[in-house]
Amino acid sequence: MKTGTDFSENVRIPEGLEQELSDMIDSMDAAEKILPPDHSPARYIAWMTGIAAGIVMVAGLWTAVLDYRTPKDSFTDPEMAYAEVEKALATISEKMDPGLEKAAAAEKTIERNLTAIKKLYED
Amino acid sequence: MRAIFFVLFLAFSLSLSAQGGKDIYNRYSGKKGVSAVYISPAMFDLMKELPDIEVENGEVNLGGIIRTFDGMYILNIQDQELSSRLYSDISAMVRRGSYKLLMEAVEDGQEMHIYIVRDGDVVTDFLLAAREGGTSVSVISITGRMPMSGLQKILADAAD
Repeated sequence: MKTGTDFSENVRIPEGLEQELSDMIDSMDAAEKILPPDHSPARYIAWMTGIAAGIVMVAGLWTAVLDYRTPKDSFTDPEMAYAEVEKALATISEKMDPGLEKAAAAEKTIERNLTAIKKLYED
Repeated sequence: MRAIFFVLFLAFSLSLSAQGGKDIYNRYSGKKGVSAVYISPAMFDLMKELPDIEVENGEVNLGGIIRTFDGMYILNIQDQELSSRLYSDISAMVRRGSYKLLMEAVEDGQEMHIYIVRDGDVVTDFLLAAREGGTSVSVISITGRMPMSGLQKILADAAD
């Protein structure tokens, strides 16, 4: 009984293929002996640049992984979390206050000057 | 091969730059001299079920606006190097375009910036960064679906 692996009898190997393969291997071997290994500075720089780029890439991807992770909740009690939100909003309000006061003061000054200019034109 | 390198380079460039309050928080929380608070969307959902959500801050009722929040990131940094690095990260994030400056106040070595991301009449991201004397920085970042009118009301009430 023939099995699926008994194909060697049916497959015809082209004449001279064995010789051609042998010649090709010999010529590759000869070429390897003729060509000296490339130790030029340009090749070395290219290698080093590649390695450095790889390291930087891995570091960048690691940073990205850290940035995208979901942080752990700081509170387990919603009432305490609520108190923190209220505190944060109060801080926002407090930080904004001086700026808004200055804007309001500037607005008043502009209004006063505009009134003075208008008055000049009217007189 | 060049295309693969280009895509990797693009991914790397994006990974180096913070995209929002969450990235900023993840980058700085846990470091020495940094206090951090995070309130998750799940916790905001729990808060909505609290019976007395009508929070009063002076004369301002904050209950309505708090219901629209779904995340809060707070950072407080007391370190000169980290403070300036954080401020640079925020500036870089703003330069890339999604955050727009809403308000800026500078006085005697103190500076405060408020940035928002808008989706029509809704504010999806709010970020306040305040720096004092170059050594300490506070960042409050809020995500949610806050109506611009509600935010304007808080701003107006704060001015009164």
